[in-house]
Amino acid sequence: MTVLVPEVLSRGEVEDRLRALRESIGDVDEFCRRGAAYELDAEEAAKYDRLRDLEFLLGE
Amino acid sequence: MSEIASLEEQASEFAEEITATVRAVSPGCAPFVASLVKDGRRLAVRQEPDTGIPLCVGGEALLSLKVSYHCTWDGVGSFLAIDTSTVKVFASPQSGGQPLFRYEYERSAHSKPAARLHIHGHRDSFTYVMTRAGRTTRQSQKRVDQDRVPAMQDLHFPLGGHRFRPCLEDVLEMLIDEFGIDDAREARTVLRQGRARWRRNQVRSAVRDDPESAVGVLSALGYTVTWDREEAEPAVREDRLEAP
Repeated sequence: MTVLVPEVLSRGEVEDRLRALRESIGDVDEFCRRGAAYELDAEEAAKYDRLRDLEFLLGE
Repeated sequence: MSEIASLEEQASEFAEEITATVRAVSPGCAPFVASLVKDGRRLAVRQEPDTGIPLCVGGEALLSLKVSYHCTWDGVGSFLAIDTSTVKVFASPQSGGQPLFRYEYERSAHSKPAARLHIHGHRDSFTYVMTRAGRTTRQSQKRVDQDRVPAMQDLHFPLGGHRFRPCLEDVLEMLIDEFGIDDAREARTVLRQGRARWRRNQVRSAVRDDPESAVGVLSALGYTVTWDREEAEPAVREDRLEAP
């Protein structure tokens, strides 16, 4: 079995990624509404999932 | 071993396990990526590519799969606990839009079932996929032999196998929650008590299926469990554990 090394991030790195992602999205509330309603295309949905991951990691 | 190192080890092991599982249907797919915050207690596990893993029939991509987990340390402090898990299946080689269906688990769910199946796909989406499905399995061959348009009710969604399947109480409470059916005043109490009774029985049966694991857990909790009969210890019932 391949050994997979987890990606260990500092809290600051996660915050930076989240900030950059939110900036690239623009209207985050509307984007999240569309995400929750499954109205996003594949690329957007991937971005939505990344957003959720980062928020989870920060405990938001 | 420091806590974070232990978390990293468990994260690595978990990602390896689910990568091996998904590679059973998509050989060569990219491994899952586990991300965690240094000195934190949370872990996000996601597949690559993040647009979904294509699933093929006869070498042609028909469906796509998206799997993700959010985990934290268990209350006990030693095991990784899954907070949420999502498994989505889409009727196209790339995810996006409505999935056909998704299985979800939410550890902190209160007003909805913790483990649940959501059907998104319209009947036509399922028919489309079923008419293009592989012909090598017994179920798919049966549909071909029936010589009629495949129907949604022909699909068999797994729901926990012999020991972890939903009980009558689950279905009745779902009817109250989702359809507002008339219920007796004490319905919730009756249903919850019935569910607890059912699950205790199922736990007993599950222990009989896998006494080895039961002994391991009880020992970890501080109990002393010893086999004191002359005959051989009961074997683990692999058939029960492996059955869908």
